[in-house]
Amino acid sequence: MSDASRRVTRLGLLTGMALVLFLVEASLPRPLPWMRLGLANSAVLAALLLFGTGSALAVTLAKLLLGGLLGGGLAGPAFVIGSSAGLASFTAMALCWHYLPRLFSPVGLSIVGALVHQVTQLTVAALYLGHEGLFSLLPMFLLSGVASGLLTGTATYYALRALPDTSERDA
Amino acid sequence: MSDRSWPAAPAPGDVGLILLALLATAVLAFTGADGQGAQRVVIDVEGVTRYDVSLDSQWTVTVDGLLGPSVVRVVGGRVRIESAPCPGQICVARGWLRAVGDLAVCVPNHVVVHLTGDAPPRFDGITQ
Repeated sequence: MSDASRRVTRLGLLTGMALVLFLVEASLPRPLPWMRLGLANSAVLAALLLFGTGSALAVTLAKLLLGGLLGGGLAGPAFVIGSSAGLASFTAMALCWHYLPRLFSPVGLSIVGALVHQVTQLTVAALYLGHEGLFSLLPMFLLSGVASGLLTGTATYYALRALPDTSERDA
Repeated sequence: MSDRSWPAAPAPGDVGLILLALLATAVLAFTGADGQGAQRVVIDVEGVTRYDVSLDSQWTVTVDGLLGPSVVRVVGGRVRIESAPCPGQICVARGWLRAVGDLAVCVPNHVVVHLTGDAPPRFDGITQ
């Protein structure tokens, strides 16, 4: 396979994985309505760690667009809020991975992403609603961010460890 | 381009980050939250305060948001969004509000219900 087709294949696989996780999660009951596991984020994290920033950005964008289409809310306020949060989360994870390379394990990176996701979500929602009182929800948002980041990060960590270490993959 | 090497979990940064986030949560949750003194129910629709009524009333109102009618019910010193036209129903699931600073938010319908009173709000000047 050429490099280009390899790249397309692997992005397709990761995007497919993100969407499957997205749909699985959408069918799960939630302990609290604003609490989400963010399972699809593990595809973004895996892309970042295995294939670099460009691939992770591509997976993030595909996930947001296709997730918006599947969720039926493209261009609605929820889509804008979710997309801002998704992009901010990707950016934070990518920055930490590149500039603080030995500080966080994949689990820590996942928590970074989840926390930034939560804070961005709340900030954009507060701006949209023009209601700074929303920040009274911040403690609960931070707490659920730690929990969900820890869970999905741990899942990603073990999934990555289980991958065979072939040179093929990084070619 | 990636060397597939990352620290084993838990890395020092992981633990530090979790502790920091938990600390921030605790500090934010306990600063000034006495949960007392709620007296008024304020209902904002599309960014404009539409109602400001006493919490000590029996009252049900239907407000028209972006998507349609949201029903807000005040009873016995508490208030909740009883029904809403939004897909997520997060605002309905929020349940009863009792304390100053509590709020129920419906982003799709652009409706915010919150409580105010004489007690100091949960948050200080920084977040106001």
